[in-house]
Amino acid sequence: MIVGIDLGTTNSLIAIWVDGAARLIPNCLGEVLTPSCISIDDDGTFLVGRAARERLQTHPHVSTSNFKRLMGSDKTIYLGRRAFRAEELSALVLRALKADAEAALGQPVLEAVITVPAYFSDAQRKATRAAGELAGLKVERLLNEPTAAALAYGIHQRDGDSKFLVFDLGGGTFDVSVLDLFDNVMEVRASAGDNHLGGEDFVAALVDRFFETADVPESLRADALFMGRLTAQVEMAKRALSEAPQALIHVSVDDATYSMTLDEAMLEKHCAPLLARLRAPIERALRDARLPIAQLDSIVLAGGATRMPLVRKMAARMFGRFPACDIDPDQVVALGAAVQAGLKMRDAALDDVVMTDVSPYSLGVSMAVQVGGNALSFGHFDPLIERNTVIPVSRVKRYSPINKTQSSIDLHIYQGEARMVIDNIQLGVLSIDLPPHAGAGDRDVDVRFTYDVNGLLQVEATLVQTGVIHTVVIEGNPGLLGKQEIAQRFAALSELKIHPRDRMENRTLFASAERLYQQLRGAQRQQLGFEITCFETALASQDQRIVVPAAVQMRQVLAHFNRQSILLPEA
Amino acid sequence: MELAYHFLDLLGLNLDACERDIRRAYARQLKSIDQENNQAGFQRLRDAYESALEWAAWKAGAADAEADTNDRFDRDVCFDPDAHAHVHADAACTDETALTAPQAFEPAAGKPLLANSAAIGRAAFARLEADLDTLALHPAAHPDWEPWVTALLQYLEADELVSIDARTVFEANLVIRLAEGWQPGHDHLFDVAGEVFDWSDGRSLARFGQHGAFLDRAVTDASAFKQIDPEHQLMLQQKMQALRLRTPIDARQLRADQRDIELMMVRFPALMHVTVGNDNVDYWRNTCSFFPDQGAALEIVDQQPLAPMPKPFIARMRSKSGFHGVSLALILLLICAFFDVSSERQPHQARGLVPQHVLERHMAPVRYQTQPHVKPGLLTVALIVFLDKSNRVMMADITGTSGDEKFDEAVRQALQEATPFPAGTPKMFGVDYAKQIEPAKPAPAMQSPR
Repeated sequence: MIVGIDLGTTNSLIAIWVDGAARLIPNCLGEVLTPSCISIDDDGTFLVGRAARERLQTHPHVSTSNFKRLMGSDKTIYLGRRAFRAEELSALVLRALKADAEAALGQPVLEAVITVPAYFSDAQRKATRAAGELAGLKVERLLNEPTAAALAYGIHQRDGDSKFLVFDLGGGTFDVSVLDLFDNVMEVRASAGDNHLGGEDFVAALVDRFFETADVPESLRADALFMGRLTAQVEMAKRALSEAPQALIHVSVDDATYSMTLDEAMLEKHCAPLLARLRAPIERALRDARLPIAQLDSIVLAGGATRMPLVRKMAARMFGRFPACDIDPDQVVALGAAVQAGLKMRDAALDDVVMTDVSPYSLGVSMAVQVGGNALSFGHFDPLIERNTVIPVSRVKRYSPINKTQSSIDLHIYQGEARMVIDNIQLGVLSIDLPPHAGAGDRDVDVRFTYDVNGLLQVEATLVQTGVIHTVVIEGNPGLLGKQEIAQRFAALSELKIHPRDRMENRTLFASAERLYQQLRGAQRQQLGFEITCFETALASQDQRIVVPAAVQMRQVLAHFNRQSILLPEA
Repeated sequence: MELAYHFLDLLGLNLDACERDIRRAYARQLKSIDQENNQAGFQRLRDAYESALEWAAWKAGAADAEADTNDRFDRDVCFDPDAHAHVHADAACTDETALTAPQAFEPAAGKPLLANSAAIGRAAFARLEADLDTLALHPAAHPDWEPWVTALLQYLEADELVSIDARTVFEANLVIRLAEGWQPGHDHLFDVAGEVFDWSDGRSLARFGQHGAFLDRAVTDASAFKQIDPEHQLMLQQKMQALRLRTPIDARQLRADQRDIELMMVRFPALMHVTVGNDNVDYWRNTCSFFPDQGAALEIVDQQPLAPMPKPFIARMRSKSGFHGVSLALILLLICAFFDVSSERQPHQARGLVPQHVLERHMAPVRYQTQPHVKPGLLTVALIVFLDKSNRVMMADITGTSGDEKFDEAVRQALQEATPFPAGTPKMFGVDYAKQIEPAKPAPAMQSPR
């Protein structure tokens, strides 16, 4: 069984292809969205999901989120005194999802299709693959997120011909893909994106605004407890604005209360620079797809942040028409991953369907160019694989040394779109020794770039005369784990104790209650304190006849206080 | 026998295939190929498919061209998205205010909101064009960068240009105007627009036909220009500014700038056209031609001091007294040096003329075989050398030929391969490299016995 996983910045989901349709698998709380948060509980067990998200506010030093943004880097994240890499934390999330799927399916899950932002680099893709391995999953395919979203939509309209654009604004990344559907072929025509633009950036902008408006001392930025609570409040207020004209953000710390009223106009004003950044990737994708907007049949929304009316309004104004969102934008990527899993398993229902994807960026080498007769200009980028070429692809180009005297060629490999390599990302260097010069063209080198469906690159250089082959192993990247290291860390991770699944529901409820208790003041706080004590006593009894009604009671109380803490009564 | 195309064979099609047939044939074959394990097979199919699509488009275009001889790059036809959008024209133009209500999205999905985005784009561009002159003349505009950016951004990021279609029309007009050559304000406009419209992306300008292709060259030039050492870059920018303003120039400045400007014209032709204007360069060249070429004469003064003096005068000096004659000549020479030679020397000092013996410590041996047709004597080639950050030769350009191309090239090559110069060497300097040519050995007779 291959599962489809959307490993998101904010939330992760798991889905399978079954009975000719993609289905989401709910977690132990019965929810399909599992927050990508990790926390170490007081007893040393690991909490994943909503309980961990609640503890971001109450126990910020042993909790973390947003680690997807660090994938492919060598940054270390500390939980208490323990150090983790982003791959390991992602692996813990994947393990929780895997456990949910195994519980639902009643069979072990060993293979997965995992989605990545289309604009993820080589290092980030390799890190994602490593995370899968650390969780005990064989990653059958890394699938680009907007492609996944397109698959989810395309699978419903596969009989007709259509062209559409997927606008995918997630928690941490923004992706755009243009898709062309014909004769059961789903062809990604182009994709583009911004790796550092997502819902979290909107929250960060509002947090900054809060510091200004509410006269919060800057020193509080270092207070993890305060920041955790503020971020959560802002996030809730941002969501509330989809339904109400105004929302109140208020955070208390050390007997001081700071508050700010948020409305649509304010949101728009302070998020304008972020909204402006949406445009470039869209224009790029349309350009590369060589399609005018008028030829698109629809604009499709994906990613949780597209729930924001502000973002939808922007999309509508840019495209000159209203976007469609028939599928829940939070779920569409995971559903698409499940479709891809179905394709991998050669499911009968998908017998006739094929999908082709593209390389999201250009890959090439540094080259000297002759200008104005006999002068050389160095450091020009010469792409071998142009961005948005259909993959898998393999391209060869012949290069010659500049000088007759030089004894080797250094082939600098770059990724990016700028004309000069200095503005692109260097992936590696391949040094090729040359035989002494004897005649014209005898020292030419054929350079071959091969880019596979998972978005991994291989570079091969052949000395034409001798046939000696050099292959590049893109190394020297501190963000990557070696095979041995993966095995070691896998063993270490396997020993970690995960909080038992069957107790997660009450654990989460308790974490929510604790978070709310910190937030409230006065009589409300007392009231909640009393409820928490009752709940704790009920839990201690370990008698299901007492625990179950106590949990129901607790949930009602929490719902009541949560509502009160965020919405202003409508004027 | 019919002319056949390999790609059509591979797709199992013949010459009357249309785009629809090609897509269908591709889809059919794609389903039998395992993309992951048969990459070569997939690539063959894909290449054939792409060639076939291009061929089909060309075929359709050729048919269209017969029917319609309109200029392909006519801005209003080519870039008017409404021309494609007429199928949607029956949909009502929805009020912008409806966008604020989120629940309005679902029922109206897919309907166009704006009736005429092309007209909006054109109007926005007309506004920019009308104001560009005043913007360019604004006292705050020169030479500061910031106020300009702010002012221009108001036009380039105007609210109505949020619509991508309107923006495209605006951009197309802008590209054409910029590619037509410099006008006041275009130098800044070129930079700011490049940022706003993402022109650093090689493909963004490809949409705009020949104007786009030309502007794309200018963008490439600009990015190469930015690689030049900042100090030197600033100096060149000041010269470009002087050209734009057509500031009155004296003979000295004119000659000082000559190498740099002509070099810029060779290295960055498109950039110069867009940000300086070829007519400005021509104006400068014309001004140059008004001044007699004193430089050449002065260089002779330098080497053979008495040569420029009229012969009868020298004769008279000799006839008087040797001593007086020599002193008079010396005074004359001093006057010469004071008025003219000093002005001629300046550019060299500013640039730093590196003497040949210093040069030879660093440069690789000059590999030059005396050519039979070259007369024996002193061969001198003038070059201009640019160093990079580590003082290696980044570029060496010939500014004055010795008369033998092979020799020029050999010297240039030797400089190109030079070891790093010591720290403190100017980043750009002139070189006059001279070599004594011995009489060539007579070439062996190549007559075939007959």
